[in-house]
Amino acid sequence: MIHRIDIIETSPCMADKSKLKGITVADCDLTPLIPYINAELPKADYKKESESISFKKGIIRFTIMKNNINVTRFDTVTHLRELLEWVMDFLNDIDSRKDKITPDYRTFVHPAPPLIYKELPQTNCGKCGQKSCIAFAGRLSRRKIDVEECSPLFLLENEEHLANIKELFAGGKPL
Amino acid sequence: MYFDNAATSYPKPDCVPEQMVHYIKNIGASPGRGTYAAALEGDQLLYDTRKAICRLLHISRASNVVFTANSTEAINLAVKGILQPEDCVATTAIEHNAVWRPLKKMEQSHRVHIRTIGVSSDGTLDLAEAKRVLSQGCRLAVFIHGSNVIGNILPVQELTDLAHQYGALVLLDASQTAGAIPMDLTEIGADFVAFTGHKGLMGPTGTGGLYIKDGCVLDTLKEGGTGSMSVSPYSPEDPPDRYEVGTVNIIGIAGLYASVKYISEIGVDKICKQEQQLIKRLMVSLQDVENITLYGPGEKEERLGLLSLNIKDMTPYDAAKILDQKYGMMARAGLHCSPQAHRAIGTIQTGTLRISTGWFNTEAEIDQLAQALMEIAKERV
Ligand SMILES: Cc1ncc(COP(=O)(O)O)c(C=O)c1O
Ligand code: SF4
Repeated sequence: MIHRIDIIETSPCMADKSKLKGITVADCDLTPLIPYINAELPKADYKKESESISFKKGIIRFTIMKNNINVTRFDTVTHLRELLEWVMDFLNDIDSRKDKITPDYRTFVHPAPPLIYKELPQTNCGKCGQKSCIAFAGRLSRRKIDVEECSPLFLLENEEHLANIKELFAGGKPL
Repeated sequence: MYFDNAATSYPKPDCVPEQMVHYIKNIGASPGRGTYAAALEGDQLLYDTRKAICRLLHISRASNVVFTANSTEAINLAVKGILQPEDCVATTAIEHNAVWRPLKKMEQSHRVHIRTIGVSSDGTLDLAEAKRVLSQGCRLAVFIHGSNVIGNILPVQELTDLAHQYGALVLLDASQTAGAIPMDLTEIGADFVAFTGHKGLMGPTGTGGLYIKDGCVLDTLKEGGTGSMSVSPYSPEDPPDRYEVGTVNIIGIAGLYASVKYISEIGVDKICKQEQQLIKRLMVSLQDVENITLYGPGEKEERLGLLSLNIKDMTPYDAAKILDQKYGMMARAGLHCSPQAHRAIGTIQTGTLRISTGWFNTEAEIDQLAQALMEIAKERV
């Protein structure tokens, strides 16, 4: 149970200079909670070696490791405090339901992009918002984009390709 | 005895000076201007105060609350941040100079057109008249929530809905109502609400703020340091930092935090009821007294804890002086910075004597005041 989160430091985001990033600390070690967060958030990026997890809420990214909660791309310190209130409630809610959640220790696997590319329509149609299928494959490998964004892949005729792609990710957190 | 709570509330709850002294002595740092513990504590206090105001006034996000020096500054920020050259602005005939003068200035400097919604002689605003004016179309409509002269409370929900229906943004002047009457800003739906910290909110002078609805962006009134995005040559885009430039009045905010907490613990409902009961008690005592004229809504109607009156053949200044010197009672005489409202009720020549109650006034005080006014009036017979 977290009772407070303190802000240690805020500074401009490297990727987006109009936004801020911040380092904050909770009053307890969050490591035991991480597999439960991982179970609740299919798109969260869990890293076993560092025992950390990272997830997004809109454009805001939270990264949790030990007592630390790092937050990126917020607007003002007031905004950060609003986000910290939200994340505290969110994590405490998971904590309170821990006995009903099966912890998930799976991590992302990152298949080689050419293997993914092989299964894509290869039309570079741009429907996914990427310039090319190669770009999409790269992002999907790093889990920076949802597979659903490639709508042509979900046509019936591509059923097998889709299954193959899912197979590439087997063993880790599913797509 | 103090009966000028509509000017500023007095006394303040003990927790207000205590919290301010605590901040000066033990914390001291400027919030958002450092990463050492004291500066972060100051920043936390600033945030907690925003949240406390959000809870009191039913505002959804802390970022919607921008602190200013008082409601006058908040109104200036909204009016000047919205209006463009040749825009139309609608307002009521009973606004405080805090609204009226910025609008008149914008009329001069930006050729803004002011359209006024008339009121009846007891200050009542007619919605049909409001509709007539608002339907002509305007960028902004400014409504006083509760009159500091007449004491009536305007139907701001209906007015806001009406203004929105005709495409106007809405600014409420809640200077007399924030903390004094229950208020749900999310429900009312106004785009901007100006409040001051030192009246109904029982905080120190030098505090106040502007509520800015999500998605509304104003031009800035001032530019300067915010402690964030410092490399940029321009003010940040996002509230509250965009508007809160320069070192904030954190000592004042510390006091405001204490007073808002104090009010929340008692409940605005209870405070409102008590202040109204006191003023109605006074009205009942005075309503049939020869030589005394009472202004504003009748004793049965809703009103703020304030009452304007006049004694026949006596200026309100003289009445106030006698109250002060002979009875040790403080009340305010004159135009109360609101010539517009006095024009509306026909007291522009003389002004009025204004009695305004606060949380710390008692029935016994009100009875003594009634007695004093009756004696003063009797000498006029
Ligand atoms: C209706 C109204 N608006 C605005 C103000 C201005 O408040 P402040 O002096 O705190 O800016 C007052 C009080 O003086 C008021 O009664
Ligand atoms: S939507 Fe699919 S097919 Fe089209 S460019 Fe993106 S990855 Fe290639």
